[in-house]
Amino acid sequence: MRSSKKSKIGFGIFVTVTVLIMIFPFVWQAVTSLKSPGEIFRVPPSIFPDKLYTQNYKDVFTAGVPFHWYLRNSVIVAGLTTLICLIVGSFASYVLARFKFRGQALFLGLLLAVAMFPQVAIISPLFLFFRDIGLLNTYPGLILPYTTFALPLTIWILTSFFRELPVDLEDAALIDGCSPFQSFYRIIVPLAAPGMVTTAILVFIFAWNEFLFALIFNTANHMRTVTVGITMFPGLHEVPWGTIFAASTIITLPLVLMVLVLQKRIVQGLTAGSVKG
Amino acid sequence: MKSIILHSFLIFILFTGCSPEEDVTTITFNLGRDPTGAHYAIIELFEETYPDIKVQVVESPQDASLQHDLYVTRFAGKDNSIDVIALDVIWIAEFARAGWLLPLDDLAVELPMDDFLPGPVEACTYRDSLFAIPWFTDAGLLYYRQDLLNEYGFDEPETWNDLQIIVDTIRRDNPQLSGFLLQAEQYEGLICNVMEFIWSHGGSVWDKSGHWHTATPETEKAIQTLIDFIRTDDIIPRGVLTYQEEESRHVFQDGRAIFLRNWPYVWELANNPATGSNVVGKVGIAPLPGEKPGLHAATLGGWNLGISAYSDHPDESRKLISFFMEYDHMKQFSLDGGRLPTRMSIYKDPDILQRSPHFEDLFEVFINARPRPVTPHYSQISDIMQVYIHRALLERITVREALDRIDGEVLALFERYGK
Amino acid sequence: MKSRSYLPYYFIAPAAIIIFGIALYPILHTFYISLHQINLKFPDLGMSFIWFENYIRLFRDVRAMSALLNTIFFTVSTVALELIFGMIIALLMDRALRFRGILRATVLIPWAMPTVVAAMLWRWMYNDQSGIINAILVATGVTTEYLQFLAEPALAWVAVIVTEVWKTTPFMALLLLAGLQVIPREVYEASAIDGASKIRTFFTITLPLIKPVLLVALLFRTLDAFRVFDVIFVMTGGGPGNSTESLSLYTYKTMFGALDFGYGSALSILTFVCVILISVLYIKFIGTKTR
Repeated sequence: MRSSKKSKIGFGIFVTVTVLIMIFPFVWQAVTSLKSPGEIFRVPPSIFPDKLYTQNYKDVFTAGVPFHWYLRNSVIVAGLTTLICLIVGSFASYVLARFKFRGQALFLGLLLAVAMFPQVAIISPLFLFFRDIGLLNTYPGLILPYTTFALPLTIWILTSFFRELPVDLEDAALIDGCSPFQSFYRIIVPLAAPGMVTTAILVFIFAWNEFLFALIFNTANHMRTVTVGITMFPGLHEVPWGTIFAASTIITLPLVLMVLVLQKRIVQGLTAGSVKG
Repeated sequence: MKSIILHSFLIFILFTGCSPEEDVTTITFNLGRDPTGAHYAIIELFEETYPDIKVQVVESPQDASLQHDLYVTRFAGKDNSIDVIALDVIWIAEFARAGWLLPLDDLAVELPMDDFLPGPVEACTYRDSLFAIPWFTDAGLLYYRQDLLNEYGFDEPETWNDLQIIVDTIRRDNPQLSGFLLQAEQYEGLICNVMEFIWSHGGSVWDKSGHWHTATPETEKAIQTLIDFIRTDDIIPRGVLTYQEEESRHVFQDGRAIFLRNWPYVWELANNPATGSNVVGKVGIAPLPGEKPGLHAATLGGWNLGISAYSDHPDESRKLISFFMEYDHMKQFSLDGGRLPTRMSIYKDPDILQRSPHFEDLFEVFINARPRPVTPHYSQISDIMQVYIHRALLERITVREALDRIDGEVLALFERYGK
Repeated sequence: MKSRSYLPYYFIAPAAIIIFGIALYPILHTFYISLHQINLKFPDLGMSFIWFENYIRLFRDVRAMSALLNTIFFTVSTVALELIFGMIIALLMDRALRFRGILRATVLIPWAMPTVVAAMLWRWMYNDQSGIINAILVATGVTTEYLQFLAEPALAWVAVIVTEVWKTTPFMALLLLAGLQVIPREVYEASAIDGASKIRTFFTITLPLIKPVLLVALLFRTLDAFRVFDVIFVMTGGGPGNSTESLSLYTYKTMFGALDFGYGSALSILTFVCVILISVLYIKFIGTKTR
């Protein structure tokens, strides 16, 4: 039909424009990272580099800053934070969604309060605390605070997802002889996949990009994370823009790839099959 | 399961962190990241000279405010992980008052302090005690397009009026060029620039008896001059209200400006084709002009070595600082890193002059560079000044009002806490 | 809902231990400090208990109140814009059958970039000489000369808000999309059969069904926006003329610049109280669906 073709084209344009706006700065950054220093600040700016200048990317790893260590550290910290948040969070969300018990509202409220407290204020006491228990310049030293700050979001998201799922499924599973744990892992988790994957992505990105705690807690060069690592490129007054943009592109790409891979797991709604079962 | 992971990690970290005990003292050397790595060579020499001392270099991001945050957090916790620390000129009074630095008067006796530049020494002194030894210095300078000035037959400007005439003349034929660039965003650099304007007009933030007083005719005139230059857009482009050091350097280096006020680091970059500079070999460098001839002013920058009051190894730390301050070592450090040494005798050294011939002419500037107000309140004072002066530059309030408000708030601070 | 004695408490325990173990003490500590006069620069002045003097000072402090107003303005504008754009993008992604994966991945890019780098990038894009935004505006004829975005308070706000909205709309979009995904297709089909227009369907069917996720998204985005720091710090430093200073920026300057930990803690508590108020309002007005 004509109207559906028009709406398809309109739709396509809409999508294209949206995508362009969202990725334009990133593309601009990537283009800039391939320019030589003199080109970057030319007026008016050139759309494409005169020549592909890959030295910036080489400099990221050879400019005396151990960027590969930073990448490794960020992967470990963000990865473990996400894993722990999902596990611990889903347990808590499950009972918050399914059961009514005393202290529930208080717990949810306190969760929010904790996540929302200004970091500037708690960084000092936390620094002292972690120093005294020897967790500075370690992975747990970052994973623990990150988990603390990401759990509230995790729990709130997952709770709302678990609430949407019909109770009959678990009842059926329990009647079939599953333990609460089994019903949880076999039935609930797969159905709440959209929520779980979304949460995983958001938590990972939060932990990956966190700056203040990573700056203050992990000062040893071999334990630094990537976001602080980028601030290690500038010298006295001078800022190597090309290198920084190259590093930033390198940092962002794994995240994008991760999302590309994971998003296939965001399943479309409740399929007829599972409801029947 | 998660606890097992956590535990394994803790154990892993503990084991990889352990090292065998030896008769070696390890001290930490804390500084902002230096891509030149010039300090490593000196440290190697130091460790050879003192085999029982090992130096662990701990680099932080170069950004001064990030470093400040890091050190504040550590010192507030009486952390003993800091031994020798590189301090920005503007932190010393603050840290000294807070009791975070060891007085170094005993060390100063052993060093030829007369050989050190007076400005940095003043910045390192608080209540008549020396709390840091100047390591390398920085001062505000005027860069200019030698080729353009030659073409129009001008000499280096001695006064702000001269500069205005030069800019007007050259821009008449070249309106696409900016006149004079500086850094006037709302940040610490603004105060560096403003102080230069104030001093070059014979003003000051202190009065003759050492009391805080900015609302004087000279200071008012200085800031008004700056505003007038920006307003007409003919002398100073309005964009400077958003510039820090790098933004201004790029415009100048690209060949789009006649004058630039910036730190000495620009010299090597502007003359290096690899940085994409379009003004290689065309740059001149001079002291900043003043209201009258001879009234040159430069704000002091630079870094200084101190010892944490919570350090467990003050003696070894003193040795490291002494080592850096020796003539040969400071000379090598300055050569390798392209830094301005703080010992005056080094400026006459032939090797130094060969690398940086402009040091000879600019020695006058370096020796007269003045520190920003040396008081533990400096950070807050800078913030107050930034807010009101930037508003004045935007012409949202008058200069007089800005200065009055600054005076009011600063004096209230002094009253509350003492100077 | 069944209640099996202690099971819920076991399931909650790990989360509770982590969160309260790490965060409770610092929060209480901050409140405790806010009742004292303490400036790290002057240790000999000690730490005197001054009751609520810091709070009285706070309400008399013009700068604090300006910062609060700035923050409220910033929060309202960014969250409203993010809601609208996030919803549009989520709807687009939900419908797009082809290229859905790539669409989702690219839309997430702004969120994936480190905030500090994104702020630096945008700051440069707004540069009055070599910035691409000016180049585009002039090239397309929207403006005739290069603007100094970050030197005019109004423009600086626009710049900061645009950057923040660009950066965090993906967060909204992703959450809303996840919410849209659990709506079964049958619901839409039924609505189409009933002859409802797309817009009508959206407001009467889609919106109510994603309310829980919407609440979470709005809540967390609002709370984050209220505590904005990096974007403003990097792009304007609170300027021009201190017109973009947010509450958290002022708190940071107080604590780490002036080293006035007592007053800074009071400012933190103020932020905290505002945040609690906002949450309570949200929960009351939007609420959670199932109870």
